Amino acid sequence: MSLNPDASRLIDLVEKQTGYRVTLGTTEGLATDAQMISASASHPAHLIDISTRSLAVADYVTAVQCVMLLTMWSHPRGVPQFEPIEERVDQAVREAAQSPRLAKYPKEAAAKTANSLVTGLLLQLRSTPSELIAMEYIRRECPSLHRQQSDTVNAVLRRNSQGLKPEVKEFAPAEILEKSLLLSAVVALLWGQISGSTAAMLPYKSIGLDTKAEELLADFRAVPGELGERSQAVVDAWAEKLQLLGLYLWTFRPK
Amino acid sequence: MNSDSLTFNFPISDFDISKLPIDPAVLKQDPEMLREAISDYYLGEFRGMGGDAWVTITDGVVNVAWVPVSGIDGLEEHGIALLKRGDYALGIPLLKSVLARALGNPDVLLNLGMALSDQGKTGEAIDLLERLVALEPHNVRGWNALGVAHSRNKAPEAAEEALRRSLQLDPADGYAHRNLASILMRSAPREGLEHYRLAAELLPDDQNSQFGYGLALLKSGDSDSADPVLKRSIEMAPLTEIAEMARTARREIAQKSMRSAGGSAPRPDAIMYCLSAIQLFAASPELRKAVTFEIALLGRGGLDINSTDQKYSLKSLPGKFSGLQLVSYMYVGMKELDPGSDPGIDLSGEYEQARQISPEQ
Repeated sequence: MSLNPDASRLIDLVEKQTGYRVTLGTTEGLATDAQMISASASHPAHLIDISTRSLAVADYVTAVQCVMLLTMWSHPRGVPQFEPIEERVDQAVREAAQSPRLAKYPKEAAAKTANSLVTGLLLQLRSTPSELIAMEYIRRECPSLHRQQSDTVNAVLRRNSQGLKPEVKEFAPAEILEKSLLLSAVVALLWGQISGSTAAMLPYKSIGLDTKAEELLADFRAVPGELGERSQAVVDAWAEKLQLLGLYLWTFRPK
Repeated sequence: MNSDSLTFNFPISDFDISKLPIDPAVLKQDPEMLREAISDYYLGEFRGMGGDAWVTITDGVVNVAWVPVSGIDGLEEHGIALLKRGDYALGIPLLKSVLARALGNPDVLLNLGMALSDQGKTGEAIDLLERLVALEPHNVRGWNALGVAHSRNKAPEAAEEALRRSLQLDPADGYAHRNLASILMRSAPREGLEHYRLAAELLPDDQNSQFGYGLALLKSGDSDSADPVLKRSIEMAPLTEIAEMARTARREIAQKSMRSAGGSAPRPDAIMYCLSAIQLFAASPELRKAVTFEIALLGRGGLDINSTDQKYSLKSLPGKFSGLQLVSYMYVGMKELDPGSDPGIDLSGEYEQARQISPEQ
């Protein structure tokens, strides 16, 4: 396997710290750069599938997934599982479907869109802190991946900024859209600090989200602990600010 | 600007905005944001190289000025290094600026020509590369790059001529063999195959050459020889687009040989394996996921489905299995878990027949 040495080192670290093998593969049709299945008793290996679209940055994508595995598996209580609470999420979906921007569409379409937006926001809440942890970790520990990191993060930021297109504002409830853009703004802000680029934050400054993004990033910095505990604590701190507490709970799978 | 500064300008529409961390549609609605983002891009690039930079954008033209810390000596190396790491947005204008000062610099002509060719600006690339080979008629890489640019410009005859010239100058140039082979595979496949063979021999660590040779063997009908070459090309770097294409080609070979062994009708052995998987998973549903997952993992390294040898074992199921048996189990498991899934091999006929005769259905 001719992976970049930093990516290979992270794979070794995951295997050593978790006791499970890491298996790499490729897959088509993903909206993201990769999908990952963490090992369990019935799946005796960590599975990382890289999107065929992202093969040019496969080393960096692999490294990110490895840091996410290290994050998940470092929690002292077990492997954290973020579990949306069905009835509360359903309630949030119903409310979103009745918002002025969605209420003008047929009920079924509005409900489907509301569901996708609410669950998407929860996913973003869950994944953004570990994404930031991975971004900083790789910047610090993997110098040979800096170029691929720039390319990948820029592509992520491009995708995130699609939320600013006028057609999105047409249908996405204002409250959900703002929370989603705010989480994207935190990623842009941290990347700006790491890379020295000011361009990443331009879209979010233009809609006045820079101060709120700085507050969320300050929370990220203030939370003590390493990897897993830190990631969970940041999710909870942000959920409180974004009024998303109560929509999910944490359970822990034995390692 | 003093003599130690470098300046260049270009229309804003020439800038590749997909380089920026903002969606192009969002940028197009906000010209001020676009200007700031382009300015930030160049300032960031020059900051990394040291010195002071100024970027202004007026009347749709981007003007860049840079005073490097160590003067403009070494700009050529800077520009070439940028192109090698794929940074065309800065590398191309930088080298164009160098070329304006030193018209006949062969290294700049070659690297700029190749970069423009990569960017699809083949007319401009051909002009530069023709200047290069006129200046240096024995420049092997120049002829090679010119051949590639002609090929991209859809001029196969001119491409062939340039590549043959390159090979006359250096018959051991693997890249020229590889590039010529890819052109000849359309017009003279036997000669193309021979050039791919030589490229694979001369460039044993070049994934492109190994894959090209494997594919050429496959096209020539020699799938037995093609398969190990394709396998080797995957092993060289498994997470690349070339490896992905090689995997697809190998799946086709496996499927074809499996079918040719039993004709186009469903294979009785695979029907029986599917049937036994249906019965196993019905009796022990907890095994379905574990067995399917384990075979899928094992299959990532490639399962030999055309041998009847029972050479595989699983942790989740006792016994020894043949490749076809495992693939049949995986097919059934995946279809039972998610009927819309794609197991990567077509055993639909066998699965359907097994379902019809299974008492569990």
